[in-house]
Amino acid sequence: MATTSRRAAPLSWLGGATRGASITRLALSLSLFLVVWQLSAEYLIDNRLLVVPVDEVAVALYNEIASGEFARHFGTTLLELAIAFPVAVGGGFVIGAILAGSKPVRQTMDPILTAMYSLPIVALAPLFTAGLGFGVASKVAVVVLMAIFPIITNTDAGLRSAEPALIETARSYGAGRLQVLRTVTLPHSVPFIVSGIRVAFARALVGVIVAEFFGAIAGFGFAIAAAAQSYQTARLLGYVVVLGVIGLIASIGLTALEKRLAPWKED
Amino acid sequence: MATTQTAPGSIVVSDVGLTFTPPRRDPVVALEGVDLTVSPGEFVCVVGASGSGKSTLLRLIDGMLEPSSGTITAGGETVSGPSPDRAMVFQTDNLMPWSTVIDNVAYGLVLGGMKRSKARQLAAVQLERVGLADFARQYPRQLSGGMRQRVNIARALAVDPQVLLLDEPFAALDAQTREIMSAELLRIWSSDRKTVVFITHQIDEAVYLADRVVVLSARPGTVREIVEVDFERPRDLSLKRTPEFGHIVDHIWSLIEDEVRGSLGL
Repeated sequence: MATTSRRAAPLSWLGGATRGASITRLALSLSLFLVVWQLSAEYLIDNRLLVVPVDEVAVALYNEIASGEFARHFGTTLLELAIAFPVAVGGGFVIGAILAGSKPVRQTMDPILTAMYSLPIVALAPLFTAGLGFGVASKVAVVVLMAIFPIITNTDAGLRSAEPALIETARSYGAGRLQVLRTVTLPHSVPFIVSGIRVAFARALVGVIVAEFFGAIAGFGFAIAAAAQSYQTARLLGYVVVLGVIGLIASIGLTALEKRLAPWKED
Repeated sequence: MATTQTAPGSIVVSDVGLTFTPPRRDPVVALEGVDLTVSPGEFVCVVGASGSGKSTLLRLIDGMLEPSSGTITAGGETVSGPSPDRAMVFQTDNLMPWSTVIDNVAYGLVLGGMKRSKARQLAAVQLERVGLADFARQYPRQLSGGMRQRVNIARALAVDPQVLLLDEPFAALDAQTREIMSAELLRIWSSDRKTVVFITHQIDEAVYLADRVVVLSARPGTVREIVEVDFERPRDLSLKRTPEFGHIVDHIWSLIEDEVRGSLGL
């Protein structure tokens, strides 16, 4: 039966019915995490190279920010992602659309794409560093390769899975090929593409960090590798925590994007 | 007679046959020698056993399929493809899940090049007609099956077709909802009396709705008999409990029964 439509709160995936409840839950789960961390560092794990208490990490992170190092690394990693991710999304969409549109192309490309999707692309990171240098270019290459495949497969799947009955209906109202695409196939594929973007972002984050491990002059991956080599666990964990926060923010942002682009979907 | 056969809203099916050839199989004769003339404003129901080509006939009239032999004209012009003059309503509501109810009703108008704001105004009028004006901003999934099918009918009416083609529109609904929906359809139809061709399995539904019931026989699908139904309009649902009504239903059933048994191997 009919229900009154109400816009869901942006954080509703946390289980809260309202924005306030969602934020409370988020704060609760983060606090719980910090408490467990602190207790393990103080009473459970004695290895100071493995875990240090939360407050030391906070101090180390503060020092990084105060010295301007944090901004430098953040800026570099952000720049690499800002160049690579839109390329991966745009390129993945175009390739996915071509695959969906042509069966011969799809059948020919499928084995290669499947192989490359399952390949650990990060294994190629040292190669790109050798070939493209320590700068931004080698990271962009790794990130694009990491992020593009989920976009390709999801775009292809989304564009091909629209219900034939809806397409027949569109045709019976006189829709041509382009109108069918615009009014049925594309709207149907939006949720597919958004979940492709979600997977792609997680892979992009892995890609950019690992690529920076193998030779860089700045970036979170570089900072983490440098901290590890000089046994500065607090500094290392500080950057890892920031990566976790970035992942969380991206996830919330993508959920909000999905709600905006696909408001018809069930919660 | 010639004038009604070329007037807007008329349909003339003459000696139409359709043969499918499935890949690597023998050709299947779906329809053969079908003749049917529908006058403007007439409500015609088509019944027949499964495999009698009812839906195929409707798709031919719409223009989604092309006949292998014979001709079909609508409003005096030969049917060569789907046209805004004829609107189809399928068994499943086929509403676009990503569009609100009002935008679904406006769909055909916007496709036809009308400005969205204007199309929504016209759509609102049709939603009012099917009694769903309050649901304009909701998404289809928020509506019940019967409501969605009414939105579907409003979408077809919105393009202001001369002919409404309905392919078992209530088959997916429960029996009670079905009863009310067929009465609702008559109420909506009575206000502007468009030509209707209505496919159904349900003989009592056909007799309740139609001016004439076309009975198709199966394999190959051909017109077995056309039964006149001259009950006065407007018709109340209580009509279904009169003996006269029962006689017509019994007669149509006797025409179909053997084939239904045959298809079951009885």
